[in-house]
Amino acid sequence: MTEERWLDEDAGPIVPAYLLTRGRTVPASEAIDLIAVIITAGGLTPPRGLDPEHLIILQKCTQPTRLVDVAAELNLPIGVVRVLVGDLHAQQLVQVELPPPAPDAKVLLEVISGLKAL
Amino acid sequence: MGRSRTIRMKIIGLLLVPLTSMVVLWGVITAVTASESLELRQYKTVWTNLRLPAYKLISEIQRERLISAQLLRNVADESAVAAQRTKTDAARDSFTKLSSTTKDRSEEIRTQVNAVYTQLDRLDSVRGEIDAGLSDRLHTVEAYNSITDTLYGLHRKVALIDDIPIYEQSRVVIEMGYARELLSREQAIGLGTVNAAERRLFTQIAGNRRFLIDQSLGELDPALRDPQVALISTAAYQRMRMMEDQIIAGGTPMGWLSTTEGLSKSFHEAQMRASTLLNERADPVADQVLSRAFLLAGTALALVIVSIAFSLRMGNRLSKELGALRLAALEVSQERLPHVVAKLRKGEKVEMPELSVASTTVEIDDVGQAFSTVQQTAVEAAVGQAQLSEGVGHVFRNLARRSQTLLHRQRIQLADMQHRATDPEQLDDLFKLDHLTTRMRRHAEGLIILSGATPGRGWSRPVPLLDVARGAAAEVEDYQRVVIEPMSGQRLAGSVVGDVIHLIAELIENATVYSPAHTPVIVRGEAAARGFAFEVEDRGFGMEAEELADYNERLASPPEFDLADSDRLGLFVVSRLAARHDIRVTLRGSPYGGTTAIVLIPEEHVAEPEPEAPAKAVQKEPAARPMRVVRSD
Repeated sequence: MTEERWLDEDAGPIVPAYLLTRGRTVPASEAIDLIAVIITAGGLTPPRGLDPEHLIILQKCTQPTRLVDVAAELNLPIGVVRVLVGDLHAQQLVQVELPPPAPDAKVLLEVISGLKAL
Repeated sequence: MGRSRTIRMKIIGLLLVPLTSMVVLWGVITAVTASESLELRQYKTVWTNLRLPAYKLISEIQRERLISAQLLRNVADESAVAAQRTKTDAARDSFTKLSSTTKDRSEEIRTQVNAVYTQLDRLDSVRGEIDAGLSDRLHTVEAYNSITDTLYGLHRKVALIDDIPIYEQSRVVIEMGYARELLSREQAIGLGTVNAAERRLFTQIAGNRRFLIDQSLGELDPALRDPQVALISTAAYQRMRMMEDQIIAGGTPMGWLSTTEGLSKSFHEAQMRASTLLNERADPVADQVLSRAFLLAGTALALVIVSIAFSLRMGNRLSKELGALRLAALEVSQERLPHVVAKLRKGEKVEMPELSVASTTVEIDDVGQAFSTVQQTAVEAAVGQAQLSEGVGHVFRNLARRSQTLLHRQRIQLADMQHRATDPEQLDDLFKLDHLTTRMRRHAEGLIILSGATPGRGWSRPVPLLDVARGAAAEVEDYQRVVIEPMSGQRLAGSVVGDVIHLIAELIENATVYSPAHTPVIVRGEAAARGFAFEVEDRGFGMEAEELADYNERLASPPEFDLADSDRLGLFVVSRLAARHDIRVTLRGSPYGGTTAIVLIPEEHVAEPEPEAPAKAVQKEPAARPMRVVRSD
């Protein structure tokens, strides 16, 4: 009789994503943009009771890092990382810097026309 | 028959009847042969106590008769008569004394001896009549004759012996004796001149005597006859016959008394010799009879003893064999079969030795054989049963494995979808699906564990114990109620991770089910002296002490899986997993009134924390990678 066995990665994650957020999909603070930059608040010792994933984010974001990169690093869905970062943000352990708003179409058109004129 | 008895008793009872009858038969045979030899002894006793004194008495009476006859013819004086009477009385007393010891031997002898006594009692009156001169010669002789007649009658009656030739010869010798008696009567009558009546009697007696002698000589065998024939051939006898003829003719021959006296003596001696000879002949016969009796009795006794010994030995052997059979049967029914069935239920192989009963009896052999067959059949049935349940287990396992594979793939798919989800609501739905799938997978794995196999997830590297606890919590329906407290960074050996997750998930599930919905279930973990301890604590209502003891008992020794007891499936799975890895699970009351389950993982499964902390706890393979399947037999 043959038996299928899944080793290590094949066995899937031990801790599923939904457990990391206790099933929450909406962050505790306001929604964080994909390209928002996360920075760990300086000079703090992380309080007890944080999950290992929170600690990894704090460690990672001593250098300012975008949310997308954090998610890629942790290999977790964006929605999950958003919730985790939201937790840290709610406790003011990280700062979230929103990217500058995108230039509007008028300016872009002017730039295009200026380029054409060269 | 009342209560049942042992086979030994029954066999003894069976043998009792024939053995008893054999003993009785032996007794009868012995008694018969003994009585035969007793009769022979009796022949001799009768000879010494009756016949010999009777002969002596006859001789004395003959003399007395002669002397009385002489007295009446005035040729003898009173003193000689008195002397002879004294002798006669001595002989009579001796006869009376000796016969009294023997006369009660049998009715016949007694009658005969009593008849002799009666006649002997007449002796005094006969003498009286002679002395008083009331009796004439003829009357006197006849009075004495009747006394001797009874004595001879006694001889004829008591000369009994089992040996026919000896008996016949004895009779003939007695007849010869009677011939001498007749001669003695002639002697007494023919003493002088005879009157007509005397001559008539004399003639009759002489005829009888000659006839008796002629007849007897024909019947005697040579050894006994020769002396008698020699006697008859003598000149004296011939002269006596001539004298008889003269007396019959009315003459009075000279020398009658002396001639007859001599002959009478010779006859008497010949007779005594013949009797002695016969007694000597009876001796070997008696010896023969006696030895035959001994031989017969001895042989019969030996036979009885042999048959008793043989019967007892056979009976013993039979009862021994039956006893052995009984023991073997009892062993099969009370020890072997239960033992085998228990072994089979544990799934072990069994070797059933043949049941052998050493016996020399066909039926016992057959019964032993039958028991052996019964045993074989029972074992085969039990094996069949075990195979059947194993087969059912296989079916379960295959089904469970298939669902496990599908669910696994579904989870991979869901994880991919979660990565692509941008909308929180979408992610929420995916989380719910993922959670359901995880729980389904746990049930499938539960089935696999019940069927005795191992679930197919494995890790080659140690896994932090915190992740083990979290993975377990994720498999529970009410996972949001579970609070996992921070724990030290120790890790669990990869080989047992799957089983420990399952075990703790079952305990957490129990804790959530048996506590109110708003209460938390707390999972703690810390290093213990001999490994690592998890605590799963609920805030429920707790259990009775007896119930706790019962659960702990079941957890400590995994019970036989009982399909009927599906309510406690979780408990059964826990105890089986715990037994598989030497993990100790105990339940006890918690300080908050609920129940705490303590899981002690032995140190061989526990590894130190990873050097560079904190670990990357969550891994996930890239979505593009196909699932790797490791096939193992």
